[in-house]
Amino acid sequence: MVERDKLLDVQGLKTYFETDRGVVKAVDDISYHVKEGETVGIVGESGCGKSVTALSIMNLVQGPRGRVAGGKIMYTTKGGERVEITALPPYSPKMRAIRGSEISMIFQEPMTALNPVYTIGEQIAETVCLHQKVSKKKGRERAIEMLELVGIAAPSRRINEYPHQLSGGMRQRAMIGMALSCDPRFLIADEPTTALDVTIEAQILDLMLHLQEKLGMAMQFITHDLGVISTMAKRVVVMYTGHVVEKASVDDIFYDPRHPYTKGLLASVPTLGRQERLVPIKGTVPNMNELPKGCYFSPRCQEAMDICHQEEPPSYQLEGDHIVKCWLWEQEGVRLP
Amino acid sequence: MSKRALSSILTSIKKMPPMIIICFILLFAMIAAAVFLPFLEAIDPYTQNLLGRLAKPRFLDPASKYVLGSDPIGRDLLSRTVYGLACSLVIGALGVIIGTVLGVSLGMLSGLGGGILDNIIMAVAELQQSIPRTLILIVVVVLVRPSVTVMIVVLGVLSWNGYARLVRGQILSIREEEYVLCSKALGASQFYIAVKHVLKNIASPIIVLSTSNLSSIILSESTLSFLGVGLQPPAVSLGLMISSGRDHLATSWWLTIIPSIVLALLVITTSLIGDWLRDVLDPQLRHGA
Repeated sequence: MVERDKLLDVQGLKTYFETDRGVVKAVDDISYHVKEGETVGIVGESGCGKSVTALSIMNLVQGPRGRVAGGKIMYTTKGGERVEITALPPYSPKMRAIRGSEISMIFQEPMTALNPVYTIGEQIAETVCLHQKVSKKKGRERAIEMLELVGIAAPSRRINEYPHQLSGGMRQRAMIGMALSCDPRFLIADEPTTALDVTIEAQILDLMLHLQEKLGMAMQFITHDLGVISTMAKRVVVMYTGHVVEKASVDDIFYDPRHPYTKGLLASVPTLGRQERLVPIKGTVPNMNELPKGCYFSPRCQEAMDICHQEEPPSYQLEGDHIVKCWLWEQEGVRLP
Repeated sequence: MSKRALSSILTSIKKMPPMIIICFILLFAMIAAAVFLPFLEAIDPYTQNLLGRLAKPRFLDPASKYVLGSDPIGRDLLSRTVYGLACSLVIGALGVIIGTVLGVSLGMLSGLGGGILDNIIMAVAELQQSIPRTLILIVVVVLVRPSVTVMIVVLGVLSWNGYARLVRGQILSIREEEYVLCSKALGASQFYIAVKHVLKNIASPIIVLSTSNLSSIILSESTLSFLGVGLQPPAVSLGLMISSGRDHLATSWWLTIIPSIVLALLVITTSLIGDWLRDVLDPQLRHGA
């Protein structure tokens, strides 16, 4: 594949946090890429490093305790320039220009992600004004346009309302409008529908798919919900305790999972019409301060072998673009460096 | 200020409860009296008239030379009340400004700076909090000869810790808000966030605290003067008037009651307006959730 196709290229990213009880490797040597216009899903349980990955891409890992300890994130801008995000100071003008107008982000909880003291319109216009030197009137027009785009009725009235006057679904729509107001090419959605109920979730997902098609942007969709991933993503990255354990196309993940963790995740999702008992994954996610020896999943793994408890597995490339980090594939796969 | 913000202020004025309208009218009347009456020649709080001692106010004795009566050495009570009011207002207003500026800047320093600076500032604030304010005031005022300037500076400076704690606490909580992260993620600079998110969010609690501090500073000054450790005669202050009038309470009650009423009105109006401001400035209360 030509490097240029990769809009975002995460190479061996390590994001560590210094705590009183030692270094927590929230993200430890992960690699993946996102091509222009495609959606990559990142799945994993709470605390597996999904959100930290997103913050690392935005270069917003909060100091003084958190830092990107290794690896790099490359991003190709609208102008075709390849920027090493991890090398830019977090608040440099260049980084700020990337945030919002190149890479944008939407958050899990639309209530807390919107400032309660500003109206929706002010907040959308604010983003526009941060990036483009436009008048307040222009900003307001753009805000109305965005609200219309995200399917909010009577946008010229709604922009004068405060976040608490909107329902959860509408807030998330406004949030999406805000994130998209400067035409980003890459949108990170950090569990955008977790706080919403199922019908609203479906509407929002539908809206996002529709907008992606219309605006042609790439997305990184972070969630713990496999159902959501199956509708949204083309490729899936499965994370566990800061590692990428499996990377494949969405079909391979669902119909041909290779890593025991992915299999476990799928077995714990109910399927409509099947009367089987759900099989949960045994045990709990290990404490990031006391990670087990060998493979971090080995204590919970049904198929664990001796080596799994001794040595961390390398990643293996299987047929196609299927990559799995598990000793079980020692024979079949091609060991990756 | 945008046109819409202005119109929202106008609507809140229209929706003002009658009590607050009365408070505003009273407060403006008192301010106007304190500002303009001293320019009248007839207003003279110092000249003594031993022949007109303890004159009754006109509402008791229509033939009286003094509108609100006179004190034991024949000074005009109306003039003295006006001067006392002016004195209270000046001390209150300037004291609040000093306290707010000092407290907000130290609070921001503490909240944004963090580390040792934060520890020191908060330790001093806590130390001061643990000693009764009146006690500190008495000690300071005994060491320094009390004048209006001294009162303003001392009362103002001593009120810093309320603001500092408020601002620091707000900064610590706002900094962790998701909308700050969101704003950063959409390209805002740190300065922009400090002004647009932090200041905007702490502005209304500061205004509310300032109005409540205004009345507490006015009361503190009167208390000290009443106790004899504040402003000294011949300075005119409501507290001093209440204190000296006490000796004649049985015979000439107006000497105490009139300045007391003025002081009470001043304190009540400012605190009620402060409460109302808090409600108006809170967008969640303003629009009804």
